Amino acid sequence: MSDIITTTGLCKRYGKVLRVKDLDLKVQEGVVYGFLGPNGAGKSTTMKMILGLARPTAGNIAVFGKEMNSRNRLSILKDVGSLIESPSYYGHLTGAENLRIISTLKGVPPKDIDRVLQIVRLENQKEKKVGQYSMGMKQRLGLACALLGNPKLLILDEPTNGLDPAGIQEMRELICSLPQQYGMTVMVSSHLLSEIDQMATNVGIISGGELVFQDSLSTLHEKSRPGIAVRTLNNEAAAKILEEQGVSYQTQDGYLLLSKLGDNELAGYISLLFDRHINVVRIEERRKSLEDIFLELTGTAVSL
Amino acid sequence: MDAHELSQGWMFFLYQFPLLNSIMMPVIAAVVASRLCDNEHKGQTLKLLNTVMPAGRLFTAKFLCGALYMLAAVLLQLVVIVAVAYAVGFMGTPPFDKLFYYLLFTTAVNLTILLLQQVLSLLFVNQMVPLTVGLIGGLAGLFIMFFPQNLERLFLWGYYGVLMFVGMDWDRVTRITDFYYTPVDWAGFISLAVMFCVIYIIGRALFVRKEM
Repeated sequence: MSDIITTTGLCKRYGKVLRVKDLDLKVQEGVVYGFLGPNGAGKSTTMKMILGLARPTAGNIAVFGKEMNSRNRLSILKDVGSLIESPSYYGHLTGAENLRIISTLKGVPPKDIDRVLQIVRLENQKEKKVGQYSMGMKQRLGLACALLGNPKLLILDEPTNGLDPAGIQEMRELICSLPQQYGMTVMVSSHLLSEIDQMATNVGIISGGELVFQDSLSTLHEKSRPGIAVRTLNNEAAAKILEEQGVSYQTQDGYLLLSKLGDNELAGYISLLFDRHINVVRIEERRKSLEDIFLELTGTAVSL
Repeated sequence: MDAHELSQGWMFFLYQFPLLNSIMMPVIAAVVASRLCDNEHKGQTLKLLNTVMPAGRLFTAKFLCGALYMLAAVLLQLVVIVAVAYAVGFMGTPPFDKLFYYLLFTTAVNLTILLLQQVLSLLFVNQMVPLTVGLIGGLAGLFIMFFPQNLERLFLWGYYGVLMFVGMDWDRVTRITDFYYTPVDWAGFISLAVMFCVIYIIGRALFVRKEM
């Protein structure tokens, strides 16, 4: 698979603060790339730089294999749909009129308007003024604008902002379906880990402007190795016995945390504890959640 | 109106309207530019438009759209001038050349002010900034007519006065006002054109370079 977006040493400085530091992104063709990071990590700034809305202080951006500059920016962006931060709209015009403006500017045939309205399920609201739309409807209109002309790449910055739970679910399903149905590559940012977990196939995690993880979502999940937590009525004595047996452990919140053990092996140790008159009161399988991994990677509490 | 006033009617209008314009037109230009640009700020559409069209073209398109409104305002004024002149019965045939100069100069000043207002309206999200500039500019433009013309030329809003081609002579004893045509200040027109070019080049560059 070829890379649709590649950034090399991308930096952005605002005043004295370096908001994006040496970012080397790689977004492969046909994936949903989740761009994850806490608030203020530099997600929107990075996406704006990819779209040419902000100028990088240093580094290069290549989209569709072409290095982007001020001359070829618009020709590259013909195949890119975007929704940055909040939806763009003219409140005094109807949804259909808004889309007509963008389709004219993009050079897309007007019949495409009905198609994108159907995709985002706004066909019944198209004659309503956008000023009267709910936040969720505006967000969907923004997505419809991005989908006009069936672009090869979609860049969506927190597209579920302002949506109700049903809307979030709908948006997720829609984003997930885009690569298969329309052959699009989607780069979607979020500060919600669970959201990216449900949408993305590849993940880039940014923290303090730096990329701290970039790989497939399954690789991220592999990091969440399960372990066993054991609680006894005498943890100190139990720990000594486990040490004698050469079992490594950690103590946390009144539990002894053991690495993943086979069932037979674990049963052996537990019966040994019983034999030594140590009462075992809890045996739990613990799996490091994605939040824990996120915390490890970013050193920042995840927003939920 | 007596016969003297009717004989000077055209000059009276071509003297009074630039004075009126120096207060009115900057405010109209500020409002037109603000209306045309504020809808982009309100709907946050600039970041979308900048991905589908060159920012420079958007700047020019907005200016041309505003320019049409400003031109319409001057044409409407001309219609009113001619209609009132016929209704009241001004003497002589309409001075077409003078009316053309009036149209040309008023439009030129209007468009230059509109351009400046557009630059401010696009650069500032808070439209109180350009609107305040428009209001203050209008009042200052009228006030600066009391100053020597060389000083007036330095101030964009003063150009309604610089390019006025009718003078007034008021006799304190007889209390009779006489109007007379003065030579057109082409140097003033050229310096206005230079101002327009400078504002256009700098304003457009600032807008194109603006990050969303």
